[in-house]
Amino acid sequence: MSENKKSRRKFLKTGLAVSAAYCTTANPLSAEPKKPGEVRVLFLAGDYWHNGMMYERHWRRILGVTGWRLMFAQSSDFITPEVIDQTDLLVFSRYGGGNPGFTTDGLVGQRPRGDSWMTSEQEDAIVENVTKRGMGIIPFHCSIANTSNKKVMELMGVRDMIMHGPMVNTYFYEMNQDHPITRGVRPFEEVDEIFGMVMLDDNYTPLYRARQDYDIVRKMSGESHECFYGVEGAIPLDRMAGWMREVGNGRIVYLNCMSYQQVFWKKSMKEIMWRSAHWAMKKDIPESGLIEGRSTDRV
Amino acid sequence: MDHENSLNRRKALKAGLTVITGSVFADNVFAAPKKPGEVRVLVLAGDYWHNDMMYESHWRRILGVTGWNLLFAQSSKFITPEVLKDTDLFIFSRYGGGNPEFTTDGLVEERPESAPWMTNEQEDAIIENVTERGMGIIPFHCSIANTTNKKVLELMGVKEMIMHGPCVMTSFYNLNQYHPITEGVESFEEVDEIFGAVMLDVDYTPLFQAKQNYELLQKASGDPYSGGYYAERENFPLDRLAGWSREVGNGRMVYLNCMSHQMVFWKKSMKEIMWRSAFWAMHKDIPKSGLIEGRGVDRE
Repeated sequence: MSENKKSRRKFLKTGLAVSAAYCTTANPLSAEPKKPGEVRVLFLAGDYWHNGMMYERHWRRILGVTGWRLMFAQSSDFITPEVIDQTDLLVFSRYGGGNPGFTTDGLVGQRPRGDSWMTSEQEDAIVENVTKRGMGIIPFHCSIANTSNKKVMELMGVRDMIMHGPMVNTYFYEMNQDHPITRGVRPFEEVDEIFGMVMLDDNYTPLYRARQDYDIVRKMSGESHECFYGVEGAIPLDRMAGWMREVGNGRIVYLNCMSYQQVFWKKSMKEIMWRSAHWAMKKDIPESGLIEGRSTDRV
Repeated sequence: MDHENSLNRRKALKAGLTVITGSVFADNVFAAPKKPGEVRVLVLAGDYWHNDMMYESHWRRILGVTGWNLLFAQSSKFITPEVLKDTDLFIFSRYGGGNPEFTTDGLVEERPESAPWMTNEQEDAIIENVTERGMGIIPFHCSIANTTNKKVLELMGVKEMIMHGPCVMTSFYNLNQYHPITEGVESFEEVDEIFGAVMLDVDYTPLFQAKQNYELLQKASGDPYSGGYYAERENFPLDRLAGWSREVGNGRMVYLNCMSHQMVFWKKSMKEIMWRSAFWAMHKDIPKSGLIEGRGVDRE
């Protein structure tokens, strides 16, 4: 009797493992050939430091009305060269450090090891698809923290990353009035974290800057985190927070902010997200209809 | 013709996936009877505001060495009465608002509607399992924000929730030296958010307090949020009960009213409180934890 139970359990476990393997590797939607006019937008966002649920919700709310196919990867393992080949826009924010792996189990007893991001294969596929095929990319926030991925860093125009300070009220200003992403967008204040960077001696166009009050940052983070955050005074917290590049046939918009929820409630930030997506895919930018607010984005 | 075929293929694949997905959800490890001596710890943590990956990482790191069966629910729909009746300790932190739902799709094109939390059925099962069977619970941080679940709030000893302020440097102090969870645990400072609670007139034991600097808090949050965070109200001082315990019927409960962001989990004192709370809530002796201060490691 007990043996029977064990066998049933083993059978179920085996079945589940097969099902899980099928579910997680099949990717039928991305393997399917694109329909005429179809626009595929692929997302990889969230990690130990950043809330993937929150990112997905806001990107869906901003771009959902376009009719584009928005696909959110539950693991970097699903960002394969084949998937990237069919992608018109890749939006990503994940640093390289140990993220938990994805599993189809409803109740997770043993969490698989997280897949690495980004592998050389993924990096090469991104660079090739941007520069040759003209795929757009919007790396945001901590994508700059993948410092060992030199080719993608170069694609972004970045030589070195500088760590952000803690989450604190931030002034977003100096909106580039000569660029369609930021023309007419108003400066705003919101709580956020802003990475810094040393740019390569290459072409890029600043979109806007972000400034934080050093004194508040220092007090907020406390002495113990000063070094971690790199805010000892040598690094002024007045940083370029968004820029764009054109490399080969492709376009890049780097949004160096967007760590926490509140910044996504701001009309200006929503507008920048909307326009960046269109611009990176070389599309005309239609009126967004976006409004200020936490739970609604349009009237 | 090709288009039709691809649609049919897609439908077939989708249908196949649905069937397979159904089979994944229909049977889970809780269908198996508990082994002798097995301790099952069920965790539901994370939502729009709070990072589920981070929570799972830290609870696993703290309790993983115990050999207990730690199970993290990817959706509140897996917290069924059947699952709860086999659970020795239930750790949870999720507020009621619309959380994205779990799906087995690797690339999620359509995110399903979120499962509610907490339903009357779930609430009743928690109460019954705690008070009658003696299941332990550790609700933490925003569990207090499920204000319509009056029975569970009552179980926690709470009449009303008071919203937390922004994530800011916090002093954790007044650790109760007469309770095994906090005895000998040192005061500490760390960035965190602290909910407030208006307690019911019932028995509860304070474990520790948390204090934030009002002026700094107000500056950090900025004016637009003073209302939302209640930071401008002098009648809500940011010096709050941040942890307490209760014994209700046959069960024990530890509420940890802090633990919103990553950094507080790096503190030895917080780790120790998590470790001891889990043992205490299950009526178990508390062994030495071996826990140390640090971000990347918890033990030598």
